[in-house]
Amino acid sequence: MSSVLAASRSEPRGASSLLRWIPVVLGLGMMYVPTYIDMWKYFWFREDNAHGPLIVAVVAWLIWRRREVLTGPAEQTRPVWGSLLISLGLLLYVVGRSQGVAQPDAFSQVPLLLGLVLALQGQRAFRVLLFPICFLTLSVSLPGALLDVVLIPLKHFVSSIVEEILYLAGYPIARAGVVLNIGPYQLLIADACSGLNSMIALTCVGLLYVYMSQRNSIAHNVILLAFTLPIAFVANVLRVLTLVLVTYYFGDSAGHSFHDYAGYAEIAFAFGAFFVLDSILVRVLADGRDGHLEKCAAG
Amino acid sequence: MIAHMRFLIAGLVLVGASGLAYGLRPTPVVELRDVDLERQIPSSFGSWHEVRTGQVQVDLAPRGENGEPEATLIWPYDKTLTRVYKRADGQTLMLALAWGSKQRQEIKVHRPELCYAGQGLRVVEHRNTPLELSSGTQVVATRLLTKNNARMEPVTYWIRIGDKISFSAWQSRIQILQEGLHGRIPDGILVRVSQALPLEARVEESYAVQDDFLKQLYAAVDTAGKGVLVNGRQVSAQ
Repeated sequence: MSSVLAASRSEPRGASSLLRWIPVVLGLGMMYVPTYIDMWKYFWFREDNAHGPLIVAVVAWLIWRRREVLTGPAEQTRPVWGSLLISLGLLLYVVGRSQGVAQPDAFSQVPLLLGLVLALQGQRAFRVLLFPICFLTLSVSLPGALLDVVLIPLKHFVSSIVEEILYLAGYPIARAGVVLNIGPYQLLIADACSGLNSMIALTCVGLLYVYMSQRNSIAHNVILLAFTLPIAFVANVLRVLTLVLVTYYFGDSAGHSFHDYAGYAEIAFAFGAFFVLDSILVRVLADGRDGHLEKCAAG
Repeated sequence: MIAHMRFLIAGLVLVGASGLAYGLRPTPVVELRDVDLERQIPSSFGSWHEVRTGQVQVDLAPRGENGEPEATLIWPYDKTLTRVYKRADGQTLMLALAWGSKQRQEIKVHRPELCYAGQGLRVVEHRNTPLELSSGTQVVATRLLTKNNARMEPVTYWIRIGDKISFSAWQSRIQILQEGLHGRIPDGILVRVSQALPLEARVEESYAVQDDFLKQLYAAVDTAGKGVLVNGRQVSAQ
C-alpha cells in the first residue's frame, strides 16, 4: 500500500494524468457499446423511455465537470472495497450481457464505475462521483412485465383524476377505463401519457435539482426530495389535462402534435415547480420564524 | 509507473469481461428449417376443415400507441399461421400459431392478455386448466374470456418456451435464463384458439368446441408437429 501511495505521489499532475484512464475507458467501451446498442434497440427508441439517453448524457456531463478529481494523484485508494464493487459489477455484466437480461447488464455500470474509481483513484473521487454514477441507475429501463404492474393502476388513477376535474369544470367528459371521451373525441391514455417512465424522468429532474442546488440545510434538501414524486404526479395530470383540452378545442390533429411536445412542457413545469418550492424554502428556512421547522425536521 | 500499471490491468480485466460475456452467449436449440407450420398443420382433419373467410384475428403482438402496428417493435416470430376452421356441425373457430426459434428476454412470444386488451377487448376471466390432448399428453392451458360491448371471444391458449409451458411473463423470463445458463436458447410457440361469439353465447360450450378442435388437431399432426405444439425437445430429436 505505502509503496503504491509513494509512487502515485511522484506522478505528474494535469491533463497527462487523465491519459492514465485510457485503458480503462477502452475496456469500458468494449463492454458497454454493445449494451448501449441493445438499450437503444429494445427500450430507448420508445418515447416513454426517451429520458434514458438524456440521463446518460447528464451523467457524462456531471462527471466531466468534476474531472479534476480523476486527474489528480490517487489518494486513499481502497483496493479491497474497490475490487469487491468491481467484481459485483462484472458478475452482473457477464450474466446480464451473455443472457440478454438488459437490467443487470446496464445496471452493472454503477458498481463497476464506483469500484474502479475507489480502487484506482481513491475515496475523494469516490465521494465526489458517488451521486453522478448512482444517478445512472435511472437510465436503466424496467422490463415490461414489471412496468405493467405499476403502470396500469397509475394510468387509471391519472385518467380518473382528469375526468373528475373536467367533469367538475362542466366539460362533456366520460371515461371507460383508460379511454376518455370528450365531446366528439376519444382519447386513449396510453403508457407514455401517464406512465411510470415519465414519472421516473421527472423524479430525475427533482434529484438533479437537489444535487445541483447544493443547499446546506438538511431540512431543505429533505423537503425538496419529499416533493419530488408529488410534483411529478401533478405534472403528469396536468399534461393529460392539457392534452385533453387541446384536443377538445383544436381537434384531433392539434392534440397529436401537442402530444409530441407535452413531455418537454411537463419537464419544464416540474423544473419550475422545484424552483418555486426552492425559493420558498430559502425564504422560509432563512427566516427566523420558521427556525422551528428545521428543528422539527431534525428532531 | 506502478499506478499506471494498475490502470492497465483494470483495462485488461474489463476487456476480459467483455470477451467472457461474448463467449458465454447461448446458442439456439431448434433450427429454423425444422418448423414449417403451413405444412405441419393440416388444413383438414377429423370433423374440421379450413375455410377462407375475411375474418380478422386479434394480433399476435400488441399494437403501438395510436393503434397502428408498432413498426419499430421487434417482431418475435419466425413463423406464424392464422386460419379459420369449420366443424361439420357449423361451429367456426380461429387458430393462431406463432413460433419463434429464439426466445430471448426482450424478444419472446407475446401473451394474448396484452394483445386482446390492446385491441379493446377486456379480459374478464383468466384461469388455468389441464387439457388432455391424448392419453398421456396433457398441457395446462389458459382460458381467457374477453369481451367488448358488441361481442365476446373465449380463448384457450398455451405458450411453450423450450420444453415447458409458461403461465406468465416472469416464468418465461426465468425459463429463458435457466436454459441460457446451460448454453441453450429455447424456441417458443403460442398456440391460441378462439371463437368470436355474441355476448349471450354459452362460454362453457365454446370451450368444449375448442378442446375438441385441439384434441383432433393434436391427433392429426405428425410427431414433429406434436413437438412444435407441445414439447420442444422432441422437435430437435426428429
